[in-house]
Amino acid sequence: MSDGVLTSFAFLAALAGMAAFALANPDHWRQLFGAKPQGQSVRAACRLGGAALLGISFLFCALADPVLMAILVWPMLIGLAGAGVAAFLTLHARGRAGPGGRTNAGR
Amino acid sequence: MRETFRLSMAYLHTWLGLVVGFVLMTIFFFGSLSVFDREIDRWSVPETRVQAAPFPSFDKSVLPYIASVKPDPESVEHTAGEVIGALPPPDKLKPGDVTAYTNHRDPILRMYVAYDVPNKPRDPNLDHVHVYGYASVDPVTGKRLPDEVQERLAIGTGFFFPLHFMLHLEWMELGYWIVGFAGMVMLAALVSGVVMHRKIFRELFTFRPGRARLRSTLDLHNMTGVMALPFLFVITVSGLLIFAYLYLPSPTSLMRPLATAQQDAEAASTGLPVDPSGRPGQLASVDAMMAAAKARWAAQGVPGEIGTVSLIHIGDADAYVSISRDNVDRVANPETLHFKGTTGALLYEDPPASGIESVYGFFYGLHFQFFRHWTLRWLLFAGGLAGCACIATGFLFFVAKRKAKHAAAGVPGARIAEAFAVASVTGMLVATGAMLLGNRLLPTDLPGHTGWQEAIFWLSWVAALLHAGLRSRFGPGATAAEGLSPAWREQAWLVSGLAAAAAIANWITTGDHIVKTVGDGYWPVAGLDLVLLATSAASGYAAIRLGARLRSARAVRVAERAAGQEPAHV
Repeated sequence: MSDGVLTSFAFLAALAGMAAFALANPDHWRQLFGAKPQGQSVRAACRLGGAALLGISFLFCALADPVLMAILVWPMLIGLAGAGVAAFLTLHARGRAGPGGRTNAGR
Repeated sequence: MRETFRLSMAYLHTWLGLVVGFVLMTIFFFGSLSVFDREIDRWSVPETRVQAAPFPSFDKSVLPYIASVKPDPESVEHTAGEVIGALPPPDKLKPGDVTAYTNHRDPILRMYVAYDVPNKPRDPNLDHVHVYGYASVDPVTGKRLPDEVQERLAIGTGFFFPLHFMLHLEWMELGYWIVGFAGMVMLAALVSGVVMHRKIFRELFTFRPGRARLRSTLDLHNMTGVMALPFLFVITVSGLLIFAYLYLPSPTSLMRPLATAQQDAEAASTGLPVDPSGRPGQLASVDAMMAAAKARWAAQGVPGEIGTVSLIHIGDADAYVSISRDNVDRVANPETLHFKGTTGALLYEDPPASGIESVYGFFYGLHFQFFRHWTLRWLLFAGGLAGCACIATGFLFFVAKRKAKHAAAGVPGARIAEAFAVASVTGMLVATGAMLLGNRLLPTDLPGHTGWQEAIFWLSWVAALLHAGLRSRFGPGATAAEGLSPAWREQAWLVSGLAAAAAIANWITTGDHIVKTVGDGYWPVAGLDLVLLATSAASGYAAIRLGARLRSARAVRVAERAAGQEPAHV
């Protein structure tokens, strides 16, 4: 598997991991699932899953590059993934509020 | 106690950030551009737009040119100020060492010759004072580039790169010290920023652009700061470490005798003499030494293109040749092989780095980014821009929070802060765009071509500051949107125009339009043109949005007045 493919997998794992961390936050959970209740176990699973996915992301980075290079690539991918998740949540909230509508997302 | 500490951190974060933020913007923006400094060089000196090539023959492409290199007048002037007595005439100076280097991103072999100087230095802590002369070689043809091309300003490595670490303030090394101070402030701002925001991690993914401007600005400030926090911290620490010898000079001043003894002990153990013997010696083939080095790297299973070759003590019996590989596969610089100049025998191979050397080498390498990893290069570029966004939103928050209050009290503080903020965000882009446009439009035979480009940069920046100062206004009763200085929108339009004009001027003056360079896969130029066009589009969009916001706020205000209501302060 090429380094580029491995790095792409690392990014996807980071994206999923950061999304799981976002879902562990009750505000973002409500934003996506409305009134559907979020139990303690779901929140814990989101956190645990998020951490595991970030770990998997690092493994892909380490497979693609030497470890000392991977520890540079990994946090940058996590930052990018976090920005992607935040952008998705913002756009999702805007979409629900309608055109020109104000949103209380993440309040 | 906890709240008092948090408030203290907030005070520290706000005021240190405001005072030094303008310098930090410069450091981070031009540091980000320096990630692609070699590519910007290709764009700004079209004669060098060729594909990168391996290190050519040292015997045929470097040695014959040493005699034709002349001491650089600026270097002569600089060294004359460092030594006791008058320097010998430049044509009487004898070349002592020569170094030639290239890398996988650079299609030019650069070389510099260090000339020995008989004078004693004024500062006893300085030793081996030299005068330098420079030359460039086309690695494909092996021919030396004409002086006119060699001396042309390469904007990436020659202007943007040094701007980010010394601000082009050479007097008393003032620029280095200002940047060092700003780096320390950045570290303090990062730590205090994390402490002062109670919900910083809880609101990590929260951006509310529909909310009041203060809230959305703070959201963006927090988000860019936290997402890029590891990068911002590490890049700042590594930048400070690189110049630690300047900020903490004890190893070369107070501990000078120890350092000298260490140098002598190393010379004795490695067989690499610090000083020439004074006896003449015939140099063996350096190409053969390069071939031996490549064979050794191949046996070790590491990439083996030559990066740097230094010939020390030219013409001396104790001459030696140091060869390093182009560092494409790792962060820290690789170990160097040293050969005896007269025989070509391997004298010494640098041992694997110690723990401390490895840590330092890692920080040094991640800042200089010699490696071949384009994804990481772009990610680091994005990290630098995230740092700029964090600082810029910090300015906006400071101004938005205080502007109405200052306007009501007749205090100009927020207006002044906003003028500087405009100058350090859009003004910096205006200066950069104007310089790139000037680079393409100024005739290369214009006397003082380099000086004109630099003057365009600085004058554009000063003009942007003056414009921002004149246009910054906020009267009592205005809404926050109306109160936003029109300079933001006007300069955003200017940035849009300059960026597009620079890309078009590149096409007209060189024929390298975007379709051609993308089609040819010549990414050094295509990449910069694409970034210029993206900047133009983004700035134009921002200007349109700012204009719409202003019109909307004015319409609301007019409607409120017609209804006999007091306008709302935000």
